[in-house]
Amino acid sequence: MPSILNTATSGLRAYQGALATTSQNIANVGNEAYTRQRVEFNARLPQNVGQTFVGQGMDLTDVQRLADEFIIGNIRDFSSSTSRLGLFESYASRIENMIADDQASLLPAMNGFFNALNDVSNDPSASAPRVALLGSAEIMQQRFNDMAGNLQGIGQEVDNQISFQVSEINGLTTEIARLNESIARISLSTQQPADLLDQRDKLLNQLAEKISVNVVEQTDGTLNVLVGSGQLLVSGSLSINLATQNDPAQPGQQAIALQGAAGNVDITSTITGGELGGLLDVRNSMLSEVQNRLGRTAIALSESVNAVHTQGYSLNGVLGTDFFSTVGTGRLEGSLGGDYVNNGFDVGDTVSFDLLFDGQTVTASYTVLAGDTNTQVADGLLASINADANVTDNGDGTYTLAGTSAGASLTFQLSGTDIAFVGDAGVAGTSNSLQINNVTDNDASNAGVNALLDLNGVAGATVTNNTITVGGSETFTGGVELAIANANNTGTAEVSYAIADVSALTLSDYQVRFDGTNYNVLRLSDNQTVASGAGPSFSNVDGLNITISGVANNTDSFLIQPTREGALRFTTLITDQADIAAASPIRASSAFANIGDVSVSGDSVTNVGDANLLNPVTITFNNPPGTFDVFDTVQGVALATNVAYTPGMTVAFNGWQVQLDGSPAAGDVITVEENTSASSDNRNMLSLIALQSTGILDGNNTTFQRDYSALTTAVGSTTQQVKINLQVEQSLLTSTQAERESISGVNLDEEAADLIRFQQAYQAMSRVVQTAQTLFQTLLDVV
Amino acid sequence: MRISTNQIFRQGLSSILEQQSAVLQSQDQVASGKKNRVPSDDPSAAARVLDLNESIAQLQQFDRNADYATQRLNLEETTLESSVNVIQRVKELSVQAANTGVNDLQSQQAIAAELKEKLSELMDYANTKDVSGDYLFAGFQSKTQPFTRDALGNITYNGDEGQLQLQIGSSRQVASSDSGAEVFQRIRMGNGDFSVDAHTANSGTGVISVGSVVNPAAFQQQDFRIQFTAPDTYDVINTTTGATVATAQPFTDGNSISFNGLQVEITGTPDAGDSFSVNASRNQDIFTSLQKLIDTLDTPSTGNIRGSFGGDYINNGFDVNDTISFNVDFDGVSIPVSYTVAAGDTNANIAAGIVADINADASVTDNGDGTYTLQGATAGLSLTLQLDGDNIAFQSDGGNVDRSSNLTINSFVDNNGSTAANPAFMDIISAGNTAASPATVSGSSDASFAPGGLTDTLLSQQIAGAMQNFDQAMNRMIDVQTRIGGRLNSIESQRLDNESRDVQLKGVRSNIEDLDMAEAISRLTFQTTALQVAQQTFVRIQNLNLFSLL
Repeated sequence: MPSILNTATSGLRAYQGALATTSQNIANVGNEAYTRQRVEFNARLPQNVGQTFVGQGMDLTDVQRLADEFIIGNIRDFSSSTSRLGLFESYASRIENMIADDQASLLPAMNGFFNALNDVSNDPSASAPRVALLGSAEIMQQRFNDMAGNLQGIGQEVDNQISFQVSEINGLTTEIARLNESIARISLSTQQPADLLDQRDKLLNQLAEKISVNVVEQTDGTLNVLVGSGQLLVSGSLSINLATQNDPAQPGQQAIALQGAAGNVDITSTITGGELGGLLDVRNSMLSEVQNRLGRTAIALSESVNAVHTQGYSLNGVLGTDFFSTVGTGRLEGSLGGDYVNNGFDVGDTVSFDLLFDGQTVTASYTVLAGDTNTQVADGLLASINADANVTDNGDGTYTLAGTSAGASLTFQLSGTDIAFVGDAGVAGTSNSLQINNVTDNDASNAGVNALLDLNGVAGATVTNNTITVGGSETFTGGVELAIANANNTGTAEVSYAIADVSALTLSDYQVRFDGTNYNVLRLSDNQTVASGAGPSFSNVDGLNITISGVANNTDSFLIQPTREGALRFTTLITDQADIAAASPIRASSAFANIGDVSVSGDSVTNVGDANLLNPVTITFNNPPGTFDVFDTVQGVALATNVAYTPGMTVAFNGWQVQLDGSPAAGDVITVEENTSASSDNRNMLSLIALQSTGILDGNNTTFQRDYSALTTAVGSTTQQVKINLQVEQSLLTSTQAERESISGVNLDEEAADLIRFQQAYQAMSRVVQTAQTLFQTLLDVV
Repeated sequence: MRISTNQIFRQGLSSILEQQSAVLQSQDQVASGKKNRVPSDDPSAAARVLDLNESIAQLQQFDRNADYATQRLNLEETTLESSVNVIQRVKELSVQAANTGVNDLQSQQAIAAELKEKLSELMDYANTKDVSGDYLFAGFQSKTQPFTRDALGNITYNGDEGQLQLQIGSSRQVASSDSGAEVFQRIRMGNGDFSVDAHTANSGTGVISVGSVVNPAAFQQQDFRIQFTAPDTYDVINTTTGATVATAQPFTDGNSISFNGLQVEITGTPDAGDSFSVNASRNQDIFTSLQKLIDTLDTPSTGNIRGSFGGDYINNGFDVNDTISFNVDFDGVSIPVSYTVAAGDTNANIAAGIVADINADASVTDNGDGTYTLQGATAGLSLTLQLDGDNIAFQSDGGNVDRSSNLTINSFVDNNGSTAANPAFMDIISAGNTAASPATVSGSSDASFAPGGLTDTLLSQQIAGAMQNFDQAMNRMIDVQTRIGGRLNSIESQRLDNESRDVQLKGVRSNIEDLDMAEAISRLTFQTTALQVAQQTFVRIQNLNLFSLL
């Protein structure tokens, strides 16, 4: 016969447990990760009493955790994509605000520059508009630099964030592995440790917010966590750390690697989702595109303004020089030397010259000794360079001259009979040059022979004149950019590139890869091979001239980012208003004494590099005036004789062209000469102004302004897309979370009802105990 | 569906937050008046607004440029207006001079004096500066004074033919200046095709008319001379080629004479030996035309003389150590000059040596600028000499003295040991209206520059020629004025064009970027209400809790 008291006690215990579970649910109502628990009651096995069974009460057999693993998995996936998009959106909005800001963006500055050009053109001889033009160029430079600097800052921030995220991920995976271990130990019994599972789910969710993961449940209750293309991050109680390292293809940029016994494995390209995935997306797609676009605008502006400005003629009466520069770390490289012995240097003669580099002047001087060879003279000169206080002997036959700017240096070395030199990349703008002057040839016996120094520019440097004579001066300029060599390269090859055609420039980066036989130039935006061959040079590959020197090994690769730093390096070179070349270098006129009415017009420069460009040239009509002769009065030679005349014809010599028209008389003269004192000539300014509405980029189709608005559209639509996607993902996440809440969330009303229900049951059980006692007492009383 | 307590909170909260952000966005729109705050609100609209902004800014700049062009052209027009007035007056004076005749010295002098005033006035206009101190008519060389006059009265143009173009529309430039070469300097003499003149030695009364080209196809730009062999017979000689075009043509008074596709008339009675030139039209600046007239009118009165002398000494047999010597007599002062040829001497060296020797004389003052002044016996009467290539140029200044003295070159010795048979060594070049006789000085003859003695016929011929040149100059200026007017008109029409484009572009921009205020404000009101509703609902629902009833 079953005991009422036992039955009652079982009930009391069970409801106590139920009440405890209810209060646990109520207590965790604010805990988002909490999974609601429900008690399972089971009646005890009944006792056989004669012909029937009498119940023996009940037990609380299970506290169930109401979770749906499928929904939890979905939440993880949506968290991954939501946090990826959320992070992307925050960066995209920042970039967008910067690009679109009315005051800080480039457009007002660019308009200001072109307006200032107009003002100079309106009054070319006045200095005020010229000064204003320089000011507006400065402002434009500042905008380019600031915007590019901000973008670079964002890039650095992204890299820092990547390191930070990686260490957070490592913390989370360690914790998950530890929980796996505990869970495996406890769940040996059939019971599930509900709170540990909640905790693990919470950590997994946090992990998913950082990086997209795959979770595979094991039979022992542990979970394996995989990232990327199936790399294990957590395996049971073991966690594998991620690490950040320098990207070999692009030193200075963070790559993500999986730490393994056999070394780190780069998994950057396989990582998707989560904040880490978002950071990589920002860096690889948005940031680089914006930087390239802005850089390309800067380069195009600089190159095309320079192309026109150098065709002009300044107030100082010289040809215009480059207005802007976007050349940055192009390395300075070359050598100098001479056949001193055969050029009349005798014992006791002294050769000396000055080297000017980045604000430093070093004098090299050597007095020839008996029996000296050219090599010995060069060595002596090098020793003299080393004696300078700013030159350091590196102990390996190289000597380094430190410039006045931080990081600028030039290293000298003996190379055969020459002195070779190489600059350190990192010398910006105009300081990236070596000037040689004050060449002195103290040669008493053989003063007539004074060809002294031969100069050789190599890839990476330009030099205008190959020989300097006494008193002469020459400058080496570093103009060619070096491609970034992959850190894993084993060959000695160097790849340099220069911009050949702005209109063909794309927004892409390029990879030059050696396959053992050929160099292949790969356009990274669409993975097209745009050039292939044994080298050593490729010309006009998407607007770039690429030159390879040295020897590459199979799989050696180089990265070219032609436009990446254009805006950052954008510098105004013209600082004196008189150097603004508003005029045309030549003018053409018909002589006052002409009897015929031949007219000349449309004088323009076709090749500013022509050495005879500025020579006065006369075009004289013969008798009869059906033909004319062209005479260069400086060279003293006839450039052409008996040229047949037709009205409206174009005549081109010495790098210029003019148009002749009208009917000449015999002896009529047209003069084309240097445009001296032409302070009111604005013809070159008009050409500069025309650039504003000329299609330059994308195959001469896009103006600067359009290019910038395209950047705005690109950034705007990327941001817009991200915002929309984020909304979608967020609402998916929200509804999945609602689903989870529906199953696993605590409802206080429900719990209140349970509380009342279990309380009442408990009270009822208490009454049963009381009844049992009463019954028992009754029995005792009977006895 | 089962709802968790968290879910109730979360949902209520998120709907409040959503409404809040909507309210904020609308508020932002209303405050700024713009539909889109960032490009991502509408990327293509953002790009269009940027494009439109640039176009609008460019139009404003074109407007500025047009202002500049208008300013410059107005200044130029005013200057030209004044210059035309000067030339008008010059023409009146010329007519007056033609009516006066050579013998009324007083009047000629007075007219010449006023013409001189007009000349310097005209020079001033030609050398006008703009507000920034740039010369208006110097072409591109605006810092260079365009027209200068040297000690001998020769006028030089120092500018060029540059013309400043300003951008006043996206594909439209307008010239905002004209060079001095165009306005004042390159003026064709005569009728523009050819110019006529009577020889200064003519003694008859023949006067040649301006003439015209009647057959342009046959007209060639060459020089011709109509040479009278008898009062009723003439030859036509092409002086460019030396060919005789026509011989022994009969002449009657008022007959038209045709050759080379042109036609001229000679009226009056030429003497045998008289000649008339019909030359292809040359450029002559207005100042020189005026100066020549002044010289013509001046010479018979105060009698300033101008000219130069020199010779091809080297080719005329002067060898090393040969000595050339002569006297320069001027207003009672006689200066002996001599020079001995040194090895390697050129004609210019010899001329320089002669000038140096003249300067050595006590009555000659070195002015320090390459000119040397010989003071005559009469107070205020002087002769200024200057080296001019191979020649020695001179000009007298009569001051107020009536009828100044002659310059005579005499008593020269050609101490030429080797080639005495070749004694011609000095050519006399007369400039302006100064007569020289004889033209070439040889060992035995003297040369004398005398203040001229033009006949009335020659005077009127010269005045007629000058007036022809003034007409040409005035026509040119009026042409330029007309062109300026045209440019100003086209600037104005371009400006109107720009303005209407500006209005149109701003309209488009406003459509794209400006907010529909009424719509936005009613939306904002609605959103505010919705937010309030969300808040109130939230609070209401939170109160529905079983626990609160326990």
